[in-house]
Amino acid sequence: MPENQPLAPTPGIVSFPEGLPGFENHTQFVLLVDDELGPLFFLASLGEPRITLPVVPIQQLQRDYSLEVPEPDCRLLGLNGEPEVGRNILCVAVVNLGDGTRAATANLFAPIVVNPENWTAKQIIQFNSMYSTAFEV
Amino acid sequence: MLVFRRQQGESFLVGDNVEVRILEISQGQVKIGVVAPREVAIFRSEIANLNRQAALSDRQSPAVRGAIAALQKSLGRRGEK
Repeated sequence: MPENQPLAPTPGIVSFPEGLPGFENHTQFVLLVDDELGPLFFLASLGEPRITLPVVPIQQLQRDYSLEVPEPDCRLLGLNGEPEVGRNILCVAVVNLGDGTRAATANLFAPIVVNPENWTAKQIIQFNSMYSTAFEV
Repeated sequence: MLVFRRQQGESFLVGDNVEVRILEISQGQVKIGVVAPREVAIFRSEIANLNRQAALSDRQSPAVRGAIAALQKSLGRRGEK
């Protein structure tokens, strides 16, 4: 991992041991990275590719985003040491692309946190934060 | 599966916010109390709804492609700021 360079998503299979809220039966997702998409990525369910979530690295939306990872979640993700966005964890926000009449929004209240060392992930609700679930992109 | 024992009156935590109490054990029955902030369940179902709304069934569809192009433009502007 190059020093001083923020972690970027790379293609791979991300596993959600607890599933993803709304898609609890889906624990394996493919992270699709495409140069054409720029900062946007897709998480597609391995079992059901028709379930695809657009995601954006959270720092693209809020440079100083402050993430809280409770201790049990650190264990679940197999994180060693203090989690730091862009250094030892990848943090992305789920984006609702809207329907053409409304602007796209991102869920900053419940970001998806990935440990890039083992590709384990969880959507971690930021209970103590004031971040919006529909941050206008 | 995690297996452990608790005496009557004892409790354990599930995650950070949910406490399960063993209130009473008698004649083969266990009475259990769950203490969880109401918000926890509400938040979780809201997040589930938001995820379902955000999910795309066809990322190649013209509408989705259009929305992606618009989003890229807006993210690009954000990057310049």
